Amino acid sequence: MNNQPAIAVKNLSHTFVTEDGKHVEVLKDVSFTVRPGEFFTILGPSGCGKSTLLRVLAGMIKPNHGELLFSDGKTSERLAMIFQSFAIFPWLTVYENVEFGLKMQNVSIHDRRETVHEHIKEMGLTGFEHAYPKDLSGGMRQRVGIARALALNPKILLMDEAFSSLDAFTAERLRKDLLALWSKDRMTIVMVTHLVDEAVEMSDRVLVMTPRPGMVEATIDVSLSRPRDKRSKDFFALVDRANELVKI
Amino acid sequence: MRYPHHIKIYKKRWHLVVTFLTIVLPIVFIFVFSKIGGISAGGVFVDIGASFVRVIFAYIISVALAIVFSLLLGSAKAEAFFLPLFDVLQSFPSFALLPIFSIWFGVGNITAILFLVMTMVWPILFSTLSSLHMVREDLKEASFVFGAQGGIKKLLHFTVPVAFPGIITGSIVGLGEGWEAIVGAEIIGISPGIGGFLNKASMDGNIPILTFGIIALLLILFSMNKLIWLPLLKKSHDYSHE
Repeated sequence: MNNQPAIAVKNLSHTFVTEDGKHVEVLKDVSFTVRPGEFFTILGPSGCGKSTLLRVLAGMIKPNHGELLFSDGKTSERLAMIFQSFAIFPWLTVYENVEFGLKMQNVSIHDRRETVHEHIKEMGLTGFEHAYPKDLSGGMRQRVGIARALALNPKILLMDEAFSSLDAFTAERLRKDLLALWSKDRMTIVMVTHLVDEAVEMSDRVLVMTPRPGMVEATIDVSLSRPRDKRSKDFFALVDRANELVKI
Repeated sequence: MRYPHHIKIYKKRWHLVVTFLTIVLPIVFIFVFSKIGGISAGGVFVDIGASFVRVIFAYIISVALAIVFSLLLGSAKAEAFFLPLFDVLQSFPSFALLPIFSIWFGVGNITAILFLVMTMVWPILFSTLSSLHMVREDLKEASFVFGAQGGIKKLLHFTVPVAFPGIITGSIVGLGEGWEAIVGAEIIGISPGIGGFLNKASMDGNIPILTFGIIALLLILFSMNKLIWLPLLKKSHDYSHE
């Protein structure tokens, strides 16, 4: 049971057809496995297909070739996602946004309330329950995005450049908060990023992708102890190694 | 169920005062002026009421049709076929249909309402469609990941909120065109109605009564906007934020 991967991707290839009929190969023969409870990062230059790969994992894109297997079947029941653009619903309040996934799963209103309040508190959003997204700062909006994802108690959490559109201070703070939550809940995380520092700071393993079409360049084990010292020699050594592997 | 969402502006206390004034003022105005002008207040109410009921009826049919059509046009294939057709129909002057409707259905309410629907449905349809088209891709993805997939769930919790701003702006434009059309149709002959009232005053050369009719109509449209459409428009800005 323990040896079974949380996610297994086998020989995944995908080609987009553009409006004018051109074929663009975005992913080519990508294979990897993610272990249960692991913080797994996909690192690559922009346009390398890493976001497409994440959308394949989320079930939004059906790949042309290849296999995708979760520990609980072809699709994962408890999967949630955090977006670069936050993607919280502007027509719902903070409370209703956090509640959204549970409501879609037909959780009773009584059971929802407790879970929603718990995650609103956990993400430091208490007092903003009835605010609309337009009244929140970028950092707060992403907190709503994270609370909405965690409210589902996900087994698999996908993060698409989740900290890239925040200012440096807010991003740093949210990374720390998220790592703290992960060390408590130990869900499997797959993160996509183009920031080498972020990948090395947060992950157990980093998969480096080639430019388009995206293939697996290498996988780096990050065996530094947590919390990680971003100024240590070992940290820099790993960042250097990742930087060498990322080709533009 | 927490749906539909609360509209803040309706909760404010001054809104009660505004509601009272916007409903009561036009009525008082009509009573007082018809007394002074020596015409029957009842007759004025019948005329305005007839126009009002036609517009409301036609609006309800139009908005229902527009929503159904825009949902059916969800697929690219259907849209490639129907959109050019709707585009032609939209630019076709609906007054041109009035004579043929009159022959088929007589000079009465059915003709008036059909004619109004042919006028009002297009702005609502195109505005709703454009809201659906301009939806942010990330919101679409989020609604998918968080389980608003297929059928009634997606419709209620994603499609309707996304379409809402378009339905509101389309309704405001559509009702504007609807009033214009109904007054025109009533001047031509459909009666009773405010258009006929104005036409008669004009024939009689009675400028005070003509002015009174115009102001009464203005007050009613102003009230409708203040009470219904402005709060909804404000709300729809929240919906389409970013």
